[in-house]
Amino acid sequence: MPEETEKRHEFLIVDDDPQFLATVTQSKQSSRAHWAFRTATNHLQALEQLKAQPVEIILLDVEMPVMDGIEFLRLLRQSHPNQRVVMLSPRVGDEAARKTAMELGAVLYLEKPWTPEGFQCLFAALETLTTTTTAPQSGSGFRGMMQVGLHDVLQMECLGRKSSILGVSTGGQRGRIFIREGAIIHAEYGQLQGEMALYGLLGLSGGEFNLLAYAEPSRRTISDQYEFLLMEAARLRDEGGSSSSPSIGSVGSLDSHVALENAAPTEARGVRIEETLLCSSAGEVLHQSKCESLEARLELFQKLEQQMMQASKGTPSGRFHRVSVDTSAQRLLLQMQPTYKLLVRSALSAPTSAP
Amino acid sequence: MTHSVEKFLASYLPIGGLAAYSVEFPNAVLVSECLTKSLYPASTAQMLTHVVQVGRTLLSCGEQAAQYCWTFEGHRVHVASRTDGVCLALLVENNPNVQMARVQEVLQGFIDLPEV
Repeated sequence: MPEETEKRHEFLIVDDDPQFLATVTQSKQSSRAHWAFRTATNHLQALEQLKAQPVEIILLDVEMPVMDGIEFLRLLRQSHPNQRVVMLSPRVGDEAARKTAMELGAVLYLEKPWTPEGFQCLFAALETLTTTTTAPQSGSGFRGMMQVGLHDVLQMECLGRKSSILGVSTGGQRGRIFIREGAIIHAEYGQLQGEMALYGLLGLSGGEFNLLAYAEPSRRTISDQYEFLLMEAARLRDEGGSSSSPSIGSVGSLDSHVALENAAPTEARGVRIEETLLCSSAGEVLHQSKCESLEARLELFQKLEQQMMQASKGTPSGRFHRVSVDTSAQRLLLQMQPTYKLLVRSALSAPTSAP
Repeated sequence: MTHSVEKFLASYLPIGGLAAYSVEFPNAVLVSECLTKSLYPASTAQMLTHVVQVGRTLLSCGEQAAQYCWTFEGHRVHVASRTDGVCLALLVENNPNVQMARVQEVLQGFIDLPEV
């Protein structure tokens, strides 16, 4: 196709840091023929720019003086309800801000880039976003490869209510995340399955991934909403040390899960982790926090395993994996995996006594 | 089965992916139905009763409404436990075709029922 027929993509970057604006606009990657960047250093300038000429995507810094990115996004939702906005934050671990931004309709919430690799990721994400608006979705098959975070790809797939399989490979190991009509329904990674596999995959700092045509998984292992899953994964990754590269199915991926108990309150959900216990299949305590009685908890694991084995006897239900108990005040999760056992008790508001 | 429970269940059933269900009082099973030929009704009923009973022991701080989700390799058992101790257990297939929204509706609806 001749270049002159290619659609021009207009972006507006809103950031109070002139150096960042210059870096983006002068970047070699941003100077592609069909891209045009405009800049604004505050919300007033941005509104003026939008009044003069609409843009396809706004890149909005979360942290700005006077009116920050979140407040400006709130304003944009009223003044320009269909405007696509990508939020850029130096602190992607701020889950409250992330949740608010996503609720306000931001299409992506990305880490603000500072390195050439970071900018490369940003431009790859923009390329994908512009492609998804201009190219009709075939609904199946290969849709492209991107050099961005898995988190962002998943977010885009879920927001678009798509069905696909996100295949991941790194260091000779492979994993897959099944997305069905915008819901994450299954993940597998080495020997791990379900949420642990998902968190393990999302904790990876490098590797390759590819979007594949959707096929039904053998079973559904994940039922939580994608927003919660991605928030949890981001939180675990941040608290588990994002600089490391946990390997699939290793203690490394579990370590990030253990970080749950050290977590700051998840303000977005009003959830506070009150007790955590991780032990090996042999009952050896690998990590614990705030367990009033380790013995009682270990006994609970053992008893539950036996009781569930007894319960499913004579049925084709198979091995017991986990139980979650939700009340208006608390949540208890017990997982029994071949290699580990995990207990997490959380409170929704005020501290609660152990069930 | 009490009229209110019968009426309540009739308004929700059938649910795609639901393989069996039971309604259980603290000391008696009100009703237990197996909806698929791939399960033995007797062992399925026993399983649901067992799961409900074990669930009751997990929450020791008095009667309070709760929802449990027991995940097995091939099935999941969702249990809605009311403040009066009556429980509804739903055995669903562990696959993506289950109408989870309907399952959640019936569980919450059962908890919210004024009288069983």
